[in-house]
Amino acid sequence: MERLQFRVLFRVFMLRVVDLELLSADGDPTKLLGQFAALLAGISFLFCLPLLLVGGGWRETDLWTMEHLFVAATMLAIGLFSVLNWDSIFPDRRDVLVLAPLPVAPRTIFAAKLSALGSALFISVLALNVFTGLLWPMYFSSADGALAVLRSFGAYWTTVLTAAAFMLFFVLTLLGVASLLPRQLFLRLSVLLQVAAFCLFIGVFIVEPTSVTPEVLREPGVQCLPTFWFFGLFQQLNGVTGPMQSVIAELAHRAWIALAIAASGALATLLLSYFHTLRKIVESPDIVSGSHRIKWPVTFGKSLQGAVTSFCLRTLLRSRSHRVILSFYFGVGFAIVLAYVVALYAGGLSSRGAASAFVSAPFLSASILMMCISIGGIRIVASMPIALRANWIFRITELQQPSAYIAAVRRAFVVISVLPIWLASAVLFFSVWPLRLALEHLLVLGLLGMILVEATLHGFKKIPFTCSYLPGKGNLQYVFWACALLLLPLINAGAQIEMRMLNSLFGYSALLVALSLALAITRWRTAAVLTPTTQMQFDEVEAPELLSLSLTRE
Amino acid sequence: MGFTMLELRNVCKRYSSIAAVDGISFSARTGEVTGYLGANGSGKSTTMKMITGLIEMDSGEILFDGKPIQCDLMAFKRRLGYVPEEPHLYTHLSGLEYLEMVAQLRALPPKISAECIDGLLHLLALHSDRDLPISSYSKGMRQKVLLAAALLHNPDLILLDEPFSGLDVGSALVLRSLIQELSARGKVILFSSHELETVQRICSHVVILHRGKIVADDSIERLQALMSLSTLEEIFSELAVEQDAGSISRQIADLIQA
Repeated sequence: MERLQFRVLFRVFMLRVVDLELLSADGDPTKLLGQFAALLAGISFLFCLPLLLVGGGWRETDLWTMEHLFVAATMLAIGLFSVLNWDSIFPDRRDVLVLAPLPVAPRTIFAAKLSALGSALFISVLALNVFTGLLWPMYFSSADGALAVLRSFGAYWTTVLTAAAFMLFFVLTLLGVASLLPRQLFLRLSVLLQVAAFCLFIGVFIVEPTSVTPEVLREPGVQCLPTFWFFGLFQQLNGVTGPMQSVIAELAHRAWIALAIAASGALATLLLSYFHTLRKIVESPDIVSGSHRIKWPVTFGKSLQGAVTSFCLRTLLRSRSHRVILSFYFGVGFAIVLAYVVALYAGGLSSRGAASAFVSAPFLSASILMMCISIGGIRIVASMPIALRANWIFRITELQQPSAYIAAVRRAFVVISVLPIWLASAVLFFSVWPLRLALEHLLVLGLLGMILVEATLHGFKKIPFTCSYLPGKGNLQYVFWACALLLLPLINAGAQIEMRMLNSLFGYSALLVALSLALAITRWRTAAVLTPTTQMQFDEVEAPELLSLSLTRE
Repeated sequence: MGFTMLELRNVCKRYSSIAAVDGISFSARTGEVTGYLGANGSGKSTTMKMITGLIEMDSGEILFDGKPIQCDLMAFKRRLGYVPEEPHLYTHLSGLEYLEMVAQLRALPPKISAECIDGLLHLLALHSDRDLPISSYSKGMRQKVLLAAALLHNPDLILLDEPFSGLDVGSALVLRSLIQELSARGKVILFSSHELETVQRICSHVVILHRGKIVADDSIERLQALMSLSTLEEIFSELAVEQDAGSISRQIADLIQA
């Protein structure tokens, strides 16, 4: 009986990796999952490119660097996915209401939830290592012969799976400890912990040494990093010999101990908190209450603009799922900014003095990057609805021309994505830059933010958070690579240009004119697609496979 | 008797090959509460949603004040108030925030709408809970929020799709007299409910729907006289109920005991 219940629940929870409530009628969640798997497999393929281009003849330290990179990338991916799926460890309110009256033991629900999450992450590890795990172990083997290669395969897959398990257990322990707190406090703290975890994982990935040498491995700081523990585990399982054997053994020992601590921590804290939390889930809604009495001191424009902007702000402030996704993007942004700061310090902050080091292109890049990430992140979360079936109120109150709605959405995007970054940058730049330069950059940053908002509005005929979601339409696997490969170089080049322009009156004026022109053009493009008959979109539909050209014989 | 404000002419809606609404025509007049009755799945809510513009009809025409609503849908929506069948609300907002948002979306003057919202919250006994998130509201409280949102802008046409759902006795009595009061003030009210006793008390005119088609469209008195039946429940059972309640209940009891 219990086994059958487990199987049924496991299947249901696995299918619910994507929230089906968000999807449009045409939505196919498998498409999104397929794109996700393709993205991970793409990363795996990218890691194999050096092999395909260079072939053999690798130095030992280069091989170590690659081994460490694969372990670190797997740990980063699994850490991020575990944090993103944080909420799915516990059943939601509806699950509890449906399952509680049935003769299903809480332990069965717990086991099914945990197994579903574990399986999803296992598939992610497979996808992320699908090419690297087949090709690289042939080069990693410590000796010649088929047996050594086989051992290398075994060591590789054991290591990545153990490292992934460690990350999952680490996140579960964090969740288990947090969920021992009173439910409302846990709900409030939960998102902060998720943001902190995102920043920590990405920050460590960026800041830790990229090149692995015997000297690096002997550094005490490096020996405290979990990615190096599992690197050591791989080396030990692979049968490494030589002068580094004792260091490697110590790292591998730490990996096993860390895994044991994380696993027992996760089990203990989750067992302690799970049954207590199941009751609390029914008793209290998943919405953080209490702050609704606070009246905002500012209004956000005329009726429609005020309504849309307030709705967006409240949704972002109160919807945990939206905040988690947004915090993922901010986590990535902060980590890259951290890398810039580290680079600044490494590149002469001490020798040239703080002021001259900070008045530099990397500092500009950091603010521009955060602006891009903020606008891009908001645009992505805005396409995910909240309470989809409640959007009828926007539909029956559609009393104005589409241009009025787009103006309202523009205002909302500016308030929630441009303004916070601009204000934070203002505080930062005024504190470390000369006044004139800070003012000049803030003007450029503001214009750039407006242009980006306008670019995201092109063809966006939706009120944020109200339109159904069509999985796969965003073409995640292409957008990721486009952003990863183009965004940072573009931002860096832009920052270099701006840095030069800031030092010349003519150059700066030309830059302002160019940006204003770009803003005018993007705004015109947004307006050009709107006609009086355009209707706001509340249901995302597939693009038709056949397009009519509307050709008629006159 | 008032004049015809809302008129449906041969309206059809099909989902794949199934006709949810099959060529219905009826009208509703000012100062009159029109009861719109039918069994589950008979097409009541689909009709309501077509009138609001939430779903498009396949064919036919809906006229308001003599003009097809599609000619100026925005103007029509300004005069429309709607309480849907299910209380789908943005539960992350408080009751007050939700009503403020609706007032802003309807471009109501801030001062007047604030007074109106405050008054409605008081009269519907929601004022003390106005700052709590709707997620913590009971079904009845959510129904009251929907009602307040539908009436906020003083609409001429009010569509009520099972508005008594979840309301306690006191609130149901208030709503019943409110419907009569609004009707007396010249509003057009189309009211769908399964509570036939309430419908008989407050509706002057009923439209009965069965499998997407209209099987009766007249005043309750005339239907009673025509069919020689004394209550609306008997009329409804005769026209729109195919099942034998006693037989089905016996079968269910037998089935679960087997």
